[in-house]
Amino acid sequence: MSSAVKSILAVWLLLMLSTAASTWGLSRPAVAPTVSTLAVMVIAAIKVGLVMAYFMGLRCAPLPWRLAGAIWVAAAAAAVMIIYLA
Amino acid sequence: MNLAAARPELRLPGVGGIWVFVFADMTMFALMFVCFMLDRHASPALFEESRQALNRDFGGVNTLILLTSSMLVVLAIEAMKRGRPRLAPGFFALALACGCAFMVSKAFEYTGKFQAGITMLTNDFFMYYFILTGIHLVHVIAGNVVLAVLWRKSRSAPAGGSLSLYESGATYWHMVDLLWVCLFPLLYLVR
Amino acid sequence: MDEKTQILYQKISIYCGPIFVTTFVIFWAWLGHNLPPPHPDWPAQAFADRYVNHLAAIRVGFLVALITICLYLPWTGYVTARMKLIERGQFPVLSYLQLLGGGLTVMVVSISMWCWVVAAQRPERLPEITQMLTDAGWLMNDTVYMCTTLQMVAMALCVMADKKSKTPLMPGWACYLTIFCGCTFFPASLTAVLRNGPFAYDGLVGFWIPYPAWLVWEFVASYFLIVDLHRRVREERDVVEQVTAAVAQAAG
Repeated sequence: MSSAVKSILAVWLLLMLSTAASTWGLSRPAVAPTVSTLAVMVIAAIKVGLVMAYFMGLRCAPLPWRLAGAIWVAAAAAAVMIIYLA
Repeated sequence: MNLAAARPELRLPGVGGIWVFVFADMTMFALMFVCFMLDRHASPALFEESRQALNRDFGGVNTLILLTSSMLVVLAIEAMKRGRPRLAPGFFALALACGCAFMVSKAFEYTGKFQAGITMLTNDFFMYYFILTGIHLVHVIAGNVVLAVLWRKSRSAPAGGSLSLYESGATYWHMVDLLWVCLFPLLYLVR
Repeated sequence: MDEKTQILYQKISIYCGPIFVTTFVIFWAWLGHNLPPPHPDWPAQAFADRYVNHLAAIRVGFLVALITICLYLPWTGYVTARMKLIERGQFPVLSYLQLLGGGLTVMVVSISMWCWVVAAQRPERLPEITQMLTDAGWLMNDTVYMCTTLQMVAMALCVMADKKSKTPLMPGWACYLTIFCGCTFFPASLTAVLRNGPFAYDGLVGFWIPYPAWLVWEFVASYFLIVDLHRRVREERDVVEQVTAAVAQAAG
């Protein structure tokens, strides 16, 4: 198995595990709503970043495109979190 | 002799235009996320109570399905890049199967809501729920068509041929996956 | 018709695009008090009041806009002819689709404004009637958009399929943006069902994204069309010069 395939599978596993953690772990009533929500939002932002970098290939893309991706994630996450905390 | 590691050339997969489309689409969705959060801020109790009616398991499993299908598409293209084009159709077919599974799951989920008397007109939360997931579902349907095309074409693709079509299609599908990764927590988990 | 006149009419046709957009913003949006649009969930009396309070502006706005909307027609005509150059042969289906789409778009937007002109003709009508006419106008634009979407998609697909031109009519990103803008109309169908929030006819998705998307696209496409026209004229002139020179050399 080439190293490229190994890293794809590793990223996928990380995405799957973090999805499970958000969906069935952080959502339990025992976790305080604010903590759970913010954690879930941050995890989602990281997942989106991973999909952009490793699945969409932005990791090896010219800088303007990587910036565009980073700005989208940062702006969307910030907007959602700021309104949530307001 | 100095064997410096060769710097991989920076390139954007697929055609540039598809990325313009993708970012424009993502921006529109981001604006709708903000609308949802603003309306949620105005009626937090209503939104939280309505959220309880959503089935978290459906949403979570759908996320796992789409993430897996994205991974399969990446593997398909990787196979084509590494001179193993015969593997690609299988990967595309599996990714398409995942996409179809998502549609079936959605059908069950929506039907359950309708049977419970919940529609887009029930309240503002469900307006967002049905419309955001509905617009996303339209994207999934279009994406399944794209995957089907990539599956068919990859069966007769010559080794070393242009990957532009496949990479462009893959970019669109990853966007569909990425949008659900955002939508699921936004609608189902934010409390 | 001699060539100079032909080129003149072609240029005029293309410029009708941005002129249409400019007059649309001035008369339909500003004078017509559509910026922002009325809110669908206002009580009927508020709809009636809006016409009474801005009667002259609304009348002038839409009566003039009903005339300038037709500047979209020569623009569409030119684009059709330009697309036929790319499609070649006996079946320029995309060119015809674009032509039909552009023509019908004019009717859709016209009928929409006609509803509002009718409402403004008799401002003392029952408020519910005025409200209905206002709703009808907005829903015409917001649900009968597919002709416009198809016009835009046909143009984009045609330009993307042009393998023969040295420089394509529009760059790839502009073609994909055209398709995206055409697709932003689809969620506007929700304006027929929802009267509050982003999906109403004064909402983000019902108005603020699709309408500017269409108008901005019109400007961007017009820019590429005029650049392409100048390039075409220049290339044709170069060819004529080369042929003339070759003939002169052969004769001399």
